[in-house]
Amino acid sequence: MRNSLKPIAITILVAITPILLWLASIGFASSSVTESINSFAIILALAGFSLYGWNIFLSTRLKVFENLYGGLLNLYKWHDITGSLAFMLLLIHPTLIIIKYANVSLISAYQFIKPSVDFPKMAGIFVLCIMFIAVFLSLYFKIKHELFIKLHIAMGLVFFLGAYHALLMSGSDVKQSIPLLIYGTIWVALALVVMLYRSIFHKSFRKTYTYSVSRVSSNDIYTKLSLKAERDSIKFSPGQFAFIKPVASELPRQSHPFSIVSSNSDSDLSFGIKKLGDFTSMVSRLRVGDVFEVEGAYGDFGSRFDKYQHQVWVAGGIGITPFVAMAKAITDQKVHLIYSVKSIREACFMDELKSVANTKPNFHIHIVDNSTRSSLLSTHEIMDFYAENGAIWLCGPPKMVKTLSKSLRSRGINEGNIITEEFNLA
Amino acid sequence: MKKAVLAVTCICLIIVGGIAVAGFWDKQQSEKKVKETSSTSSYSQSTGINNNVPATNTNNTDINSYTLAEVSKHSNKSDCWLAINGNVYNVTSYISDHPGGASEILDSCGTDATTAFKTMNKGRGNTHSSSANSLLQDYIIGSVTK
Repeated sequence: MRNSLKPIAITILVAITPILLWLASIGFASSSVTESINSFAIILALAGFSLYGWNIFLSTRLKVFENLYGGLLNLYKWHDITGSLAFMLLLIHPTLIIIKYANVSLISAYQFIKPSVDFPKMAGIFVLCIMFIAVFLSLYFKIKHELFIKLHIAMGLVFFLGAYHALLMSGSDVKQSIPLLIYGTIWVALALVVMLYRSIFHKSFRKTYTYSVSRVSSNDIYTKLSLKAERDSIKFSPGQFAFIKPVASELPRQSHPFSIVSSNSDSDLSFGIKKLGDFTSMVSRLRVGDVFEVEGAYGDFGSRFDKYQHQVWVAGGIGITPFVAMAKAITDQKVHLIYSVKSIREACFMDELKSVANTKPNFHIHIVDNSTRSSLLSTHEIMDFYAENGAIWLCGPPKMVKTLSKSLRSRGINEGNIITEEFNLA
Repeated sequence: MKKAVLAVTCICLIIVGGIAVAGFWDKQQSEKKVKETSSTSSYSQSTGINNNVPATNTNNTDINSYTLAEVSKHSNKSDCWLAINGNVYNVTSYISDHPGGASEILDSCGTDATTAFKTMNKGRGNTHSSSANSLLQDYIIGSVTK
């Protein structure tokens, strides 16, 4: 369980800053219940606006954010949390305003709710609708990647409408507070830069490397995609992943993360790609010479690989990919790999894994074929291979990783000895 | 987090929906009441309580004009007229619905309340929003004359 202290502190700091500026310049109005409710509504809107903008900055994947949040995957997890928080705060804001009116009379509340030609009010409502649609589609439905990206761009764009609403809504405190005006302007300016850079010019805030396809080997379950560098190659360690974006090929120009299966001594950079959606199914259509932009490498899954003599690796489905790279890097560690698959034919990269097992007698592979069993892999079976003071690596679908990690901990295994990576970016 | 988002969204929608419906119903009730008492006042039925058009409506020649002296006769809680921007409004049924408080309106009953309306007198000096403005028109009964 990654350290959440820093991310929590950052989130609170971002949310609280505009509130402090508001308290210092305007202050909480408490002369009546109506005014108090109004002040609470303003506080929530300030926090929500701040977190919303912050989320746009996080989407840049800048190294400083990656470090602050403890790795890229943790950054994405907190991007989700921050976005959900902002949405909830901005939803409760108008609800409180409506309650404020209702506290005086239901009719005045109705008059406020009823559509009227009030541009700042309409802007606020529109922002909420877009957020509502985007948040719900992203959280609760499996949507196509293209739509996911478009929704995110829409959410970035309506941030500016939100700023307009905050500035000009009748009764707004923002235009009467210099500190808030400055804060808001800075947030809007930064967001504008990010949106232009990412969504209009499609540039990455991180360094990208140019590669071209050297080999594509594919079956109906997965593809091994091999790329060779045009100039510089990325630096990576076993267990890491990278974002690859096809820039000249049949595939859509989308950036997707995949685990690196090659080792540093291999001439080409290879990725393991399971056929799960639109993009991944098209990967087999790539041709030698197609150009890619590679960004990375990210992830700290294999960072403690050198520190333990006894290791148990548990892979579920496509979760095998980081282990393929790690297996090639085994020196004298005693490693037991438990590979849980739906059926034997779904096992990926077996030829590469078996070739490592042939040359390294301290590496053992155990296939768990779920089609021949009535129950899923149990912690008991994992513990069979676990040695005191060793470590367990888990990689696969989020549900599998969460369940196994929890029951391993309940069996007394130290949290620090369980290393996980959930493939939740899929 | 997913569950929290769903819960908060549902709660907010229910609250807002409930208030909207209750407020709409209340509005219908109070309009009925005003229509019943309007037979005693001297403006034409065809202007209607929901007429958003200002008193200088060329379609209707029966618009009434009142002097400020006439307006000042309607200066209490159960019979409150306001003169704002050259028009006369019977806001009796609205007093208790005023978000800024009943006293703010009561203080101005029977007078020219243009300045008070423009500056939200006891508030932070803001002007009323356009939705407040269009709401006001619902109560129009005529225009001011010298």
